Amino acid sequence: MAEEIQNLIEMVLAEQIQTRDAKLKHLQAQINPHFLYNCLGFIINMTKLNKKEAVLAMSHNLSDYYRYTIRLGDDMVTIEDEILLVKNYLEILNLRSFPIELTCHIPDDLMELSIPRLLLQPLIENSCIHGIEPLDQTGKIEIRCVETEGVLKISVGDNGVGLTDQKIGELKIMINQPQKLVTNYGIWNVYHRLLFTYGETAKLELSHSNLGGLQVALSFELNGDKIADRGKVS
Amino acid sequence: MKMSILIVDDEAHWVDSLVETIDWPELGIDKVFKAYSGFEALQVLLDEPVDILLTDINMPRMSGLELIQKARESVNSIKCILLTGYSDFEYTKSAIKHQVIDYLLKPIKDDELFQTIRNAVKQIKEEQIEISATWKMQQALNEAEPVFRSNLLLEYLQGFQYPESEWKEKIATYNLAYHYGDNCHLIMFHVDENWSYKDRKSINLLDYFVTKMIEETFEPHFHTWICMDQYGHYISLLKGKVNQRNHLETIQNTARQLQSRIKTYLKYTISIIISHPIQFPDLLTSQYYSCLEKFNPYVENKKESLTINTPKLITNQVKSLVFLYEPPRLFDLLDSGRFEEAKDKLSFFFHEITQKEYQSLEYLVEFSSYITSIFMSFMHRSGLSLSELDTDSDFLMSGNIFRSIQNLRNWTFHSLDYIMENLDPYKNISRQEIIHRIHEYVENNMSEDISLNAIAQYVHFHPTHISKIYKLGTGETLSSYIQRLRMEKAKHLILNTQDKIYEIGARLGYVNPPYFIKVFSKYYGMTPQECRNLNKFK
Repeated sequence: MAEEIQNLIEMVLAEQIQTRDAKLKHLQAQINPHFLYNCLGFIINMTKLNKKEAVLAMSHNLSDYYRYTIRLGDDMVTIEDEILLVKNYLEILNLRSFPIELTCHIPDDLMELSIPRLLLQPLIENSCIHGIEPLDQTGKIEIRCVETEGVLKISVGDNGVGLTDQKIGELKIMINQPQKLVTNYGIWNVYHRLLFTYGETAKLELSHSNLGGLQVALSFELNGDKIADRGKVS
Repeated sequence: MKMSILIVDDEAHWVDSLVETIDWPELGIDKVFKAYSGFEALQVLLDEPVDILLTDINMPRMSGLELIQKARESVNSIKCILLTGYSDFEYTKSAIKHQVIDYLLKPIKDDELFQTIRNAVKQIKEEQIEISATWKMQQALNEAEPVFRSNLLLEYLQGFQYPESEWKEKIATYNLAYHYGDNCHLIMFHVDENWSYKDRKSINLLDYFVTKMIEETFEPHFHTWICMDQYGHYISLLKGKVNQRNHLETIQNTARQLQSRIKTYLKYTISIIISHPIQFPDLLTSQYYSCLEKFNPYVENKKESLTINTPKLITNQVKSLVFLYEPPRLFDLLDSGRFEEAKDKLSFFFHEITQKEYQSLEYLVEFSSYITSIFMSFMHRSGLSLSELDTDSDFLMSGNIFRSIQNLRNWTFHSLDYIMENLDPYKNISRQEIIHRIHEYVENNMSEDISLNAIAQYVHFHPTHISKIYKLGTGETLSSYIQRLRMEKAKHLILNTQDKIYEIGARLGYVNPPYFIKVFSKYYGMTPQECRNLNKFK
């Protein structure tokens, strides 16, 4: 019995350490230095070109983006908050001449649902950087939220270059590997935080999007406790 | 020098800010092109001359490194600069691998950009100077090639031959069709007109046209290799494009065509000699000299002749041009100022050289060199320059030899006249000075016995030289001068003084009065007394 307790304690501890590791990595990833340099470069260039509007737009979007992504604590946010960040991010890309059209199919009542912070953003960035950017044409991203019998399904699809079935298969295996062996950190991170928050029922599914690229779908059982009180969050 | 840059980045703001905010002309760049992708960039490279490519590395579909590789395929010398957001060793490595001259970190600082661009511009300028130097040298070589080829043939004609192994290299270098052992014919052309060499330019032009026409006329059937010798003949080797030993008939027909073409277009008639087939380079020299004999300037060639050279052994006895060296020699005559005698001697020379026994080109060359060398030598000693002579001096100066007796004769007599007119005046003055001193001495010592030795001592010259100089300078001998002076003085004293005749005689060095009277009578045709009386009656 004592041994069992000991094992359990160790398991919890190990999980905590892993979570903390994941958080740190996540934070570093969110700082995204290359992204930052490019944005600062944009500000410099636009200042030289005397384009005040562009400088202001970039600066505001950039500060909003970082305020949201770097903040510690407040693990849970509403879907709406998360969508706002995505819009923020896409606006920055748009300013830097990567136009991407975002379509959201989210029923209003689901907007208030709370989800782990930065659950969607890594998927969007994935779509932009790996899916859409190599395409060299206007990108399209679609976010869809559906709730069926207490299970919430959020899917992000794009019109990017997509992945072959083989690659999708490899990725599916990869997300279950320990962190050290991870090649696509964004998706792995999202999946593991999902598992951490919602337990074994949480799923991450990879498939071809009907837009032409990749689709990542998250699903998890809604738990009454987890519904965020909007007032509390903000 | 106009230079252009192409700036490529998929994020428009990098490109736009560089294009619009940098003072490109200040950096030596006249044209700035932009592209927002590798493909756009390649399009620009197709349409515009681009010297410098400034490109982002990370671009969709075609990376900056791929772009550089493709750009190099179309513009080999393009200078590439990478733009990158990463300061990463991997990028430095690939930059080196792609021979990128520099790479710049985003956001680019103006100073770094300026430095890099200036560096690129400098490199390009240095390369262009190098390229243009190489190009110029190549041009010069190309222009000179015909001259080299022509000189090479001339060497062969005059007896210099390369060993066969070396010859093979020459063939390649000079693009020649003649291998050792090839059958070929020697053909020699001579423009029948008698040339005056005053107008070198028109001669060069004629050379050019004649050479071209020879080439063109024979081109359908023969490889030509043409040169001009120092006598103004055009000589070509002809090698049949069809391999057969003897092409005489074709050559004769073609040669006739050439004669009529040259007559039509250039209004000159030419005479032609064709050799029997020879194997290159054997017999080339002997064939050349025997053809040369046929165009001997003494022989009145039939105009527009077309001859086949049948080599005969000419067994003329070789003689020396003895008349040239009989004393007094031409140079001495010139040197001592005996120009009239020199003129006579030259007339004699020109008469002799046209005698039958001396009618050969060799003799003419000897004769021509002898005369021109004496004239030049004398002129230079007298401080005269050949270049002041307006007749044919350029022609001589470029090492030519007169090919016609008439031209040589004109030149010779013209030069002689020139020398007589322009002989260094200082030389005369120094001679005049000696004469003046002689006069001085003679006048002051009239009562003494004036000897050549005494005068020589006075002017510090050798006695024989004194009389020579005196004669040259005044045209009368010293003794007749002394006598003339004494007689004039005597007459003057007789007419203008009351002195006794014997006194006057003594004062003038005639110690013996009857001798004085005798000399005076002989000089004036009357005795001193008769002279004095005659004057009194006037």
